[in-house]
Amino acid sequence: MSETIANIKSSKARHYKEIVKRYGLLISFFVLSLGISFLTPNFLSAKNLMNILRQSTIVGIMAIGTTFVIIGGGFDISVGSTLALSAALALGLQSSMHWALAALLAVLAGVLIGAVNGFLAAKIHIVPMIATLGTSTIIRGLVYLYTKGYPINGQVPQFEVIGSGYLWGIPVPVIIMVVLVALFQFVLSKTQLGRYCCAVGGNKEATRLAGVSVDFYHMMTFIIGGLMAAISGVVYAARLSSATPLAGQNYDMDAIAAVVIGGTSVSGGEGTVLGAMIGVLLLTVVTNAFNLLGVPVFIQYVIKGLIILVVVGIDSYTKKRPR
Amino acid sequence: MIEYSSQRSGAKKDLDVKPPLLRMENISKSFLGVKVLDRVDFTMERAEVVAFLGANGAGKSTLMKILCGVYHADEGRILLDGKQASFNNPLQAYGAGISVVHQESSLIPTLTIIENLFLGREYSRPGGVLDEAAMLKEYETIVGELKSQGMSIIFITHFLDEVKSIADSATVIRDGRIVADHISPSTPIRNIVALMLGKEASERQTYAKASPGPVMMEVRDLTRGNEFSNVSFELRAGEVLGLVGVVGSGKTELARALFGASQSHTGTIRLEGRQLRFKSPAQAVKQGMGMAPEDRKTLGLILEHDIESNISLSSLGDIARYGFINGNKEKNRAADVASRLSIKYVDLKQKIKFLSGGNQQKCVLARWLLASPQVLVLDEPTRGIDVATKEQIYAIVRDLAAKGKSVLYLSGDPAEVLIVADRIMVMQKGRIKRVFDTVPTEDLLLKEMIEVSNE
Repeated sequence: MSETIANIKSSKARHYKEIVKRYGLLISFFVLSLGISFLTPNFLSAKNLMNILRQSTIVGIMAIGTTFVIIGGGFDISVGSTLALSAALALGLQSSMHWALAALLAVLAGVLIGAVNGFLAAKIHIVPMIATLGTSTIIRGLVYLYTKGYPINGQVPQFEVIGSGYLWGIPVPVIIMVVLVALFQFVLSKTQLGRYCCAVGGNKEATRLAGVSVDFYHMMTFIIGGLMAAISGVVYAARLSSATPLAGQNYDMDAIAAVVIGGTSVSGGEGTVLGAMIGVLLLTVVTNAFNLLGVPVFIQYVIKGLIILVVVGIDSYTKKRPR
Repeated sequence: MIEYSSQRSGAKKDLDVKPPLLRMENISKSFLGVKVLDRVDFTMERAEVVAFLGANGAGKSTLMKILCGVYHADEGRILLDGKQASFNNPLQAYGAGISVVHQESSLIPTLTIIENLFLGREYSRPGGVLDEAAMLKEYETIVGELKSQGMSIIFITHFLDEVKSIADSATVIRDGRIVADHISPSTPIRNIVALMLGKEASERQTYAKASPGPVMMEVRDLTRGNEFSNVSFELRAGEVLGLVGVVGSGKTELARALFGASQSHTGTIRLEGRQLRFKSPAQAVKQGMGMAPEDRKTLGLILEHDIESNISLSSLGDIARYGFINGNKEKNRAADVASRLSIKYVDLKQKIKFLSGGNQQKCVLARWLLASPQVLVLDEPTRGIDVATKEQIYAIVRDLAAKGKSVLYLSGDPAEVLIVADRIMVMQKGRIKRVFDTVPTEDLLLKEMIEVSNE
């Protein structure tokens, strides 16, 4: 009997250790950004904070989808290209149809790309990183073909509200992001879809043998990934009123980094949309602080890459290291 | 106890002069407080072929792993050529002239039934891989050749027929003790089986066997590659059908095919009269089937997830409405079934990997109790579980049958199938070798299991 109690106690201790391990990264980043805020006097000004929020929206919306993909055990590095295609379509199609319809078609294009990625990963069993590298290249090519290499500029002021308008003093893209975060956090934790996406990432074969249509849910994670990338593309187009063929480059990596910083495991199975959002904010804070401190952009690249490697490295090392 | 005359062969003239090639003295080994080997003595001469026999879990693999440096003995010593030897890893043992040949057979994906251990210091040429599919004759030739080079061989097997022609002598281990040392390989198989089994079969709990209802599952001529062939049986409502066979007999593969986890088999499966062909386990579950796979850690559970979601995984459709999970309903159902199966946990939100093996297995059963399929396939549901929990699992299985469910119970342990099943099928090398419509004696069942049928 005393043995069982000891077991229970130690398992509880391990439980807390798990939590610390999972969110330790988040906490340390929070401390870091707090430190930055003391270094830079402008950092805590309301204007700058709102600015940070608005700067987070594009990668933020994208990261919602990336969260699902990584939880499902995959990776999607085509979301940057998907953003570019969606942005180009949203602006380019406006010359021949209503802007809302153009935006809708742009979003559907993202869903289609997600379905293709999901099919390649779940049904053809291509390693997701490679599958999405392939589709990413194809999509980027399609963007160049569609735009003929030139930026497409927007002409419809109503559309631009999506990217640069304000509602009750809050930027519209921030509202869109917050609504999507709340919605998809709910989907992830309270619906069958979300639960099965986690299960597929946790142990696909066990989930299959439990009678779940795992390939469908595996594909769904990529579809949500594509959907979110396309929505972020529409917001991007509306914000800049311009879509260049090079839009969204490296955004996929930012999204993945944010998701992992936010506590989602790179090996899949667990994570939160909320965590990813905090991850995005922290990355934006770091960028913002660098700008305020006058750190050159090229050095920022190097540092950001290091951050990503350290974060993913810690997660992978603690999970995969031989016992 | 039957007396057997000791028979030794090979290099007899050296016997008085040289120490034996191998001497294992007083070897004991425990895992997690369970004594697997209890003061075992084992001696071998040069150019001797010994068949090493024992039931599952008798300790034969452990002894061999100690010999080749995988495990360390808790007590005892190993003498090679009279000199004490101690191996920290298989490489050191290999350097001393000990090598293990594992039988790489497609029938045996996880465990080796037959391991051949070659002893021979000067003759350390790599022994060719002995393919189980190869003819017995080939075996004899190879073994004979190796023997003539002075190599000593320990031959571990379940298949008693192979012993006769190849080995000079047989040694039987049971429950961690040598019960017959260097007996003649021509000892009648029934006597060897008796030795492997032990005379004293302990008293066990018995369960009321129900009278079976209508046929729920009908399988005809099911064949899949070289995994299993022409399997036919009926499974009725309210009965537990035991499917017993050693690892590699094809029973797991059969279960997977029935459940739609593998495809491309021939033959028919009828469920409640409807002929069905499942493309996935999801379809099988929809049609009222369930399966607890053999390896709970890799195939049964999502270890990083909590207890609750592992239990509700197969019945989420009932718990959710329009795709929204009713959290309270999920929690109540999981807690209810967990208490019915007396699963020990601190918190349902605790990760399932922190539960003991027995409790984990009960969670897999709990999952299927919630999903409540008409036909439930259980593949080795008590493997690696303590005796008390085993008894609980038997009770759960009998309770399912009493409620009119049909259970196909796969096991490599004849003793437990005798306890839990109403009828028993013996599977061997992919075929149903024999069907017992009434429960046979343990000796008869084990004999049927391990004897190769002569066709």
